[in-house]
Amino acid sequence: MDQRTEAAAGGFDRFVARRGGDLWAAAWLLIGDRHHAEDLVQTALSKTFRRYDGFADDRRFEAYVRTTMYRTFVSWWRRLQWRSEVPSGSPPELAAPDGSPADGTDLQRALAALPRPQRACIVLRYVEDRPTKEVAELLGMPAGTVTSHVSRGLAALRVSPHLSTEEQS
Amino acid sequence: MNEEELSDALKGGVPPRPDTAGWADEARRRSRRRRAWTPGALIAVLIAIAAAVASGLPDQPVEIVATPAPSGPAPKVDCRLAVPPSGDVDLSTLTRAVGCTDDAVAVELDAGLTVDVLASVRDGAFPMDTAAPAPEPPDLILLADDGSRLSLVREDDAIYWWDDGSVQHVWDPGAELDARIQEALGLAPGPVRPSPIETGRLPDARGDGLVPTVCDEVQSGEIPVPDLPADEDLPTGAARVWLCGDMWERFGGVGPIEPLTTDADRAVEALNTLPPSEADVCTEMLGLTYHVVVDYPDGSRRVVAAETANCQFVGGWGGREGGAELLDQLLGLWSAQRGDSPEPFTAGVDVCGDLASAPTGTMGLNSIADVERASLYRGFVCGVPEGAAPDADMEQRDLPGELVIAITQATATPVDQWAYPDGSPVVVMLNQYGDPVTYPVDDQGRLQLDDGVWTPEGDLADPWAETLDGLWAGR
Repeated sequence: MDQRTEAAAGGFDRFVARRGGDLWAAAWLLIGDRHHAEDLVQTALSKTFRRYDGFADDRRFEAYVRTTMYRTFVSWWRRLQWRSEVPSGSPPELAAPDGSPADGTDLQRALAALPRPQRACIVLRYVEDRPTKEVAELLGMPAGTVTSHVSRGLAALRVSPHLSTEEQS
Repeated sequence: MNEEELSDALKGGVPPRPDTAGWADEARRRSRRRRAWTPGALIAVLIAIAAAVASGLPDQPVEIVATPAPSGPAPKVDCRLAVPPSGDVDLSTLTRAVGCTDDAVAVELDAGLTVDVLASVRDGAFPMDTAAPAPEPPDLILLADDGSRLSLVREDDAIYWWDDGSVQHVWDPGAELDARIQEALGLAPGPVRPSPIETGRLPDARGDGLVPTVCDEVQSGEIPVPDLPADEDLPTGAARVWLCGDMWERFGGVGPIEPLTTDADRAVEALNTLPPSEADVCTEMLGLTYHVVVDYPDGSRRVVAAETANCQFVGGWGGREGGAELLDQLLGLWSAQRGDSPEPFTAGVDVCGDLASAPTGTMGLNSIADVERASLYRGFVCGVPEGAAPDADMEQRDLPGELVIAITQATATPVDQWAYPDGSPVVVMLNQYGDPVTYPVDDQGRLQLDDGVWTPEGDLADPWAETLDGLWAGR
């Protein structure tokens, strides 16, 4: 391993150590399962790490990894749909008792009930705070489709029985 | 809960982050496996193959029940029995592949095909978040020298799965590799030779809706899409070419309703002259966005997949690159054909049927080409009748002519938000060639045009209300 490659390898290790947790958090919001979230992140990292050396800084590389992660997620969704499979009906893992409010768990359940494209759009818009245009470019959808997914996703969350229960309690 | 509260709740609801120690090494390991398979495993299989060849292994498929296995005693494989879950099998230890014929005879795949199958399984199989269905007799069995095995079941859409006892694993070999397996088992012709089509199907390829039947069949997997290696050209002499969009996502899903029949070989030549792909790592190798279907006078047909994003593969991995450039050229050929011999599309059409059959997540019917709003000349409203379930059959109504004209000239008002309850109607409009564009109707009866909304007013208000009357299942 030459010095340049070695430096890149060390940089990639540090990147994963620093940012892997946040990447996993985004993946968990998409999938709702701890192990599959890790699998998604690992898949994205394995697809991208050879390009690490070509990025000027970690911020840009992370954007590349996240793009890959979301596209992989959508790709998995497509393949499942192709087989007429539906995502698991089992509820996502509960949020750990780390002081997060109970409505976080309910919200995850409601989020998990959304179709995957809607979920991806909601997470990108409201967790990663990306503008509609950027979400559209990232997911390869027209901006109007993203807007519709977000709108329908929000509408579904508002009437979700998980969140209704929360409001009643 | 407003949007800010939603954002805070989502961000605050994530469980504690896991320990990421070892993730970087795991990514490297997976990457090596993705690119070329692990050298160790490759060497192991090459040794096994060499040993098999040295021991006189025939190059053709072998019936295991009658012929000794290549690297040891014949494994006991019964193609008639459903098998129990495999347990956790290390994919890197697999060295042999046995297929099952329709007569439940076990046939060992030849060495080259075995290598390709095992590499593809290691590279492409993934666990699903569902439990496996009930056990079924296997179609393909992958074996390790220590006796462990995976028993895969093939579904009609050429996707294979196995059960490890806790989850279902899925493997998509791709059309070409699956066709090789099927051919080895005597179940189907090989992937490269053009598959003849019934003469009687040619006139029906257009179908009743906006999506040609042939495109429906490609998108549903009924027509396989083999890879086209860069060193192989499509034959010239084409009779017609279809351009099929991607109904799933990405961009316009509907190709031209009519085939290219004027100088169809120009489309073939445009594809053949694309350069070989030199892409290394792509973020989305499976991001197919359109298909080119070439029909020949003798009834044979070739289908090529292409994508406009990322590596822009044409013909799959190992094929050509330049999918976006090719699409531009193809659309130019259609445009020229329409200019030379225009065939206005005025036939009755089941627009709402196409819309209803589009997969979940598809937002309307939109042409693969840019469609100018000013060029639209007829339109339909598709909506679920009031009182019906949101996923009930949609009713199709013609959009009155005055509304069509008004929409082509309307100026949209920018708004921050739209809301589309399930069951909201949509307006699908066509230009004179049948290229569609879809405009949703929001919960206030406004039409979403471009980046804003427009509401028919004045003399248009009543026809608009009448057209939508009774189509508000979501309200």
